[in-house]
Amino acid sequence: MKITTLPLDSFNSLAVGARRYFLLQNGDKPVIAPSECPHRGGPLNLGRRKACGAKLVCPWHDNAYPTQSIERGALPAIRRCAEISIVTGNEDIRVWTELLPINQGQGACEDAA
Amino acid sequence: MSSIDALLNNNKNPDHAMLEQALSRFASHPLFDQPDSFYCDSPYLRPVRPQDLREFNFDSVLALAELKQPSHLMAQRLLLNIYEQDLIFLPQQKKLHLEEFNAFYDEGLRGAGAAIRPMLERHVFGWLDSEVSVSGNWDVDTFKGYADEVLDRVARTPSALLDCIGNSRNPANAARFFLIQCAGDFLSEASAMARNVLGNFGPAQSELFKILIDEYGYGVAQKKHSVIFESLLAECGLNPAVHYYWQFYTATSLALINYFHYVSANHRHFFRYLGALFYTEASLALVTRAQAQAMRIAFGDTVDTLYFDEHAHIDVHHGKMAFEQLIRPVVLRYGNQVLPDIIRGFEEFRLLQDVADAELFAHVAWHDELSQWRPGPPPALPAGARSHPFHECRDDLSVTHVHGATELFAVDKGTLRLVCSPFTELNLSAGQHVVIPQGLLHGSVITSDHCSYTVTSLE
Ligand code: FES
Ligand SMILES: [Fe+2]
Ligand SMILES: [Fe+2]
Repeated sequence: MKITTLPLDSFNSLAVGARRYFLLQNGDKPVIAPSECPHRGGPLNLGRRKACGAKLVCPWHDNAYPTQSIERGALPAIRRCAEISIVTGNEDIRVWTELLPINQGQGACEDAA
Repeated sequence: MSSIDALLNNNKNPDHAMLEQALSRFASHPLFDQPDSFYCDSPYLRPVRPQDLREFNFDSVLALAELKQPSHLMAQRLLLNIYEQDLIFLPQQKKLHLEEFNAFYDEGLRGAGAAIRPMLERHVFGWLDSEVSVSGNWDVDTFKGYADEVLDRVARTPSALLDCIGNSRNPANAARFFLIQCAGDFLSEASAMARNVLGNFGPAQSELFKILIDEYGYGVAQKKHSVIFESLLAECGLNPAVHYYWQFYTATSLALINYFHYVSANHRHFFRYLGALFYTEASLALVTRAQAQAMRIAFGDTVDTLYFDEHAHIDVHHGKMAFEQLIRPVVLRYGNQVLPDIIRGFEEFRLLQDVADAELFAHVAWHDELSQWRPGPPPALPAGARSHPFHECRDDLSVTHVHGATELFAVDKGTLRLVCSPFTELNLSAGQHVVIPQGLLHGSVITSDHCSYTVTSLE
């Protein structure tokens, strides 16, 4: 088991072995969510928010996933102030920053009137 | 239905005026109002400085960066008074004043305390919601892996307390100030734990009971952890009476005690309690060796460190029991749904402990600085600095408090004693001054017939 502690603003994507995750900003509770869509493997990290952030929409076939259900597949993580600690197996971990539309304009809600 | 009952039953929309009334009733109670000494000779006398009430808004939630604000200290003092009305205190050395006993446990006072408690809890602990969060797919073994790593880091990190005491200009007084910070908790050690052993929650309940039995010395008074701590205080030249040093507890030392009451008095937070219990027991097993070492540095090799040695031993068991006999079976039985709160409690108490350590070290550093104090020219004042003049008479005592900004404290006429700890006092006379940094405890007592002094914000 491995604990990786990172400043929250230092990354938004990571690979744990062959699996990709992204940092889903979720109010006070950031989630290290799997990037792979459970439907056909689309890039959830490039998805958009719906229902005021409560759902994430996959860009491939527009399936919408409640944040809560995404969290079930998320890496175990604890945020303490401006740092987050992530628990993984012993696979190699790579972190990087890429443009994630999902975390842009968090307050905006696409289906709001 | 009394007005307090109405409040309790309708806390979604509390009548603000009623809340204010309860606050003023509780805080201004004679037991908590102006004392005539910096030391509390009775377990029921616990001054909170009600005269400051007007300046505070307990409706707000303090941020982590605001814990040095004076409202934090006052709210923590109030909360400990409220929580401890549930515990039994009788004086051990002094005589019992029955009217004080009756007043402390008075039904009306308890009602007022119960009414303001949720507001105060939110004020001082609400920030934890925004500084700690738990997400993702945890199971009990992932948590164990995380906790092991955290505890391993605690074990490998050189003790900052040892450095603080060892490097102080006066290690004995630094160690005494540290012991005073512990005293609020250790002299009634594990009282919050006792709140959690009633009811019926299966085999885990019996496991918690066993830890409690160790803490309470198996019914043998000399083995009770609080009694062992009393001996240590006496040996180090301190008064072992409960809350004798009430005025010298820092806000974040109080926060450590109050957090355990907070998550134990409100059983909705029981799972947070389990996590915090695990952190405290497991980490104490690791840090008490350094604490014993700090006592030897401060007081010489002959000091009896039994209190810390006992914990270095028994808390290895308590840490294991808290995880293997309490947390693991509870999670297996009730599912991973209870894990986020357990993990949160673990992490919250760790954060609170770090914050309290930092505040202790800042106080010791200031006390060291003051031991070198010499009269000198006052610092330049910032443009538009706000000053408050005070005029007081002999023996007027200002209960210890903190300021939200660094301030210049200058005596204009007469003499007074500035008291920053039981071992750090400055006798100041007209023309002399001292700078009081933001958030550091101090009080004063007038030593001439009349005295005038001015407090000026340096920010
Ligand atoms: S792959 Fe995501 S909706 Fe189909
Ligand atoms: Fe103990
Ligand atoms: Fe213990």
